Amino acid sequence: MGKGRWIVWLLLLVMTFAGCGTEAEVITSEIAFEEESESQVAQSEHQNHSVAYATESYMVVSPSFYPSIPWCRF
Amino acid sequence: MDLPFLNENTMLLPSKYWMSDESRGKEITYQELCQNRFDDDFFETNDLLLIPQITPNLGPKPTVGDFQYDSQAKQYELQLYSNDTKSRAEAQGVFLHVVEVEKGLMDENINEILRITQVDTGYTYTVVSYDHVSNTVSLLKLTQTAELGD
Repeated sequence: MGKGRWIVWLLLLVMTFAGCGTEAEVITSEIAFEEESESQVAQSEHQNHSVAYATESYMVVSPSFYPSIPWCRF
Repeated sequence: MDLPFLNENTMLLPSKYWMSDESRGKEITYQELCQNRFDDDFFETNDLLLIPQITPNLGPKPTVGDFQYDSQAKQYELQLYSNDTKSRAEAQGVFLHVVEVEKGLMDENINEILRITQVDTGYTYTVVSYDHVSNTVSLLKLTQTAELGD
């Protein structure tokens, strides 16, 4: 085997490993992107959520109620 | 309980008797309401929000709508409906909404606020502070921040 052929094999080997590395980086970044998307979805879901409550309403019959709440007069 | 806008003798008529022929004699005092429905056991796991509402007349029945929490703004939002018909024929209606929530829902130490919107009239109120009365009842103090013209 000549010296030139060894160099060609060596170059092919280096290119192969370099290619694998690039693919791995692509996969890693895809995973990171997916994780980020899920996180964003979860965050937006938590921005607004319903509060559990029970309520009963009453009509206030006593006229003394009126003067003391000026902030909600029409 | 000594509340600025309610006293123990204030008469209340439950919503199920509004517009009802059976309403006579169904009124209860605010004191009776607290004693009968909201005893010490109740307050071990619940807080009460007392929300007054005035409607333009006595006819419409106001209701409480959605109650949501915006975690980003750290703000609770409660919607009220006055079912206002824009009629000015009768005297104003005064109502009290008693809202039962999980105990500690609004922790004054982290400065969360409750924004109340009277949806169908455009009135918006924002709570600027609230007090704990008798270690049980949360009283809301509201400030009107927006209104629509007649």
